[in-house]
Amino acid sequence: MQRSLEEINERIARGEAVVLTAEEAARLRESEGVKAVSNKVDVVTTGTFGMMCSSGLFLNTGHTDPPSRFQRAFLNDVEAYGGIAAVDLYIGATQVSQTNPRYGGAHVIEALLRGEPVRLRAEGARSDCYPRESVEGEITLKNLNQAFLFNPRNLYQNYAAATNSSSRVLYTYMGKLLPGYGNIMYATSGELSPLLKDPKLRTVGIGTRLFLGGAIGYVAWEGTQFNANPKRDATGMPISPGATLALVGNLKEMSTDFIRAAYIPGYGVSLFLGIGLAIPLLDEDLAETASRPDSQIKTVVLDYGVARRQRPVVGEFTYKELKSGWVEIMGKRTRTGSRTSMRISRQVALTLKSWIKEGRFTLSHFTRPLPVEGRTLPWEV
Amino acid sequence: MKLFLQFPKEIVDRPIITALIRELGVEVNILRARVTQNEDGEMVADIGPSPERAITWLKDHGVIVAPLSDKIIRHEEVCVDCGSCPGVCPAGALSMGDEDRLVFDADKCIFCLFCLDACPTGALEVFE
Repeated sequence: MQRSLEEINERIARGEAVVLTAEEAARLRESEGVKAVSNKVDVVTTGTFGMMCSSGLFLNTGHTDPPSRFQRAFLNDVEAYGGIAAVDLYIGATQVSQTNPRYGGAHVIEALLRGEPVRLRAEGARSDCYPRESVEGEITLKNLNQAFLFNPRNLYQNYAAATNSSSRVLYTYMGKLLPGYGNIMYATSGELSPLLKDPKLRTVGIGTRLFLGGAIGYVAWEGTQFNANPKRDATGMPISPGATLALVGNLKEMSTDFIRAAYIPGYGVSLFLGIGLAIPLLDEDLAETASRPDSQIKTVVLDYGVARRQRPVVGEFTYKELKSGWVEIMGKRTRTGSRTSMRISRQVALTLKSWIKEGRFTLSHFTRPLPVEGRTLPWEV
Repeated sequence: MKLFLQFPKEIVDRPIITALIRELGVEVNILRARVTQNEDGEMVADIGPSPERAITWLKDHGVIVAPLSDKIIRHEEVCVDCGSCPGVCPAGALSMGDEDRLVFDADKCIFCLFCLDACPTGALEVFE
């Protein structure tokens, strides 16, 4: 069934829109078929809650008196980037503390969000504009002029799972990989995963409104390492890493239910982030992709035991198989583990659904589509 | 029943488990045993079929006994149920249960402790 975005928004305004989470849509499809999903449902909400390293926070403290310029700055001993205007800073999620290797930018972001005071230590060259060379004091989120996440790369459209053929334990961002294909770790919410439910990016582009960390955020740009041409299966569904998004949103409106610092032993610090997209079912094609169940979404498994840029593909599984907890690889029954919380991913999709039902969140036209061509190139050095 | 046994260093050189088996006729499956830096002994053992008498006997002989389920602590307020730890749990003691919440089944745990440094939020801890 065809319906326009305007028609859907009118139905939301009248409180008549039928909104399902992607899991609910998949169950409806399994019992009644794709046509029923297309005819009955206006919007499908998605969600994921995983570690997204390429995230960070822009903040502005306001000027000191006499004024100073933060050229080198530390927040709770974690270095923030000060090479912008005087009291603007950017703190990256993965930057590690100079005093505690298990603490980093993600923890500073979480601390600010919790309302805890954070110690800022900064220094800059003395100038007529900025006579004060150094400053030290506490900042809190509510006293910052601006504090917005700007994440250069979030929301990978599918991600390859990981295993390890080598003879030693590997500590990776995909988790602890046991030797001899001892386990497989994957990092997607599968049938709830936002960009897998609109694989051709028909309804998401620059300016699209979405759920980010418990608040309404926006797509700022294509994400870094955006890949318009990933490996796809016969139906066009990416089965290797594809599109990514650069996202922006106001930290002051976010919630620690959907933002958590992570420390990955042997790797470093990262940030758990909850993100969800609402997909308008404009036609049957979108109803088909948005309601695809785990049993029809696949990913490849890469061997992290080969320490090269191009890691060999050693398997391919559906998310239904991966989520079962055990699969067979190289003739061996092995455990699977997830890096994405399904419980909180579902909470993202349900929260977004309730926002739409309450009329707090309407669907938006993007102002510019995402690229349809171009791939991620390596650096030959 | 899986138990965590601690042998203070004064008794660590005695064949206590042998005596336990001979005197009570219980079955003991030793899953893990080591002597710590403090010269104490630590053991994870599955004792059956009726462990109550064995627990009393061990305590009478100076062994500190605790159910294994008390030794592994999950800080629920920190855990996000990501599912990383089941991926390194060869015994299947950690798994995702109802509503995709983490479930720990102490009866299956072999105390390999692979899970401790697999957790990205520091939610798992061994109680010393």
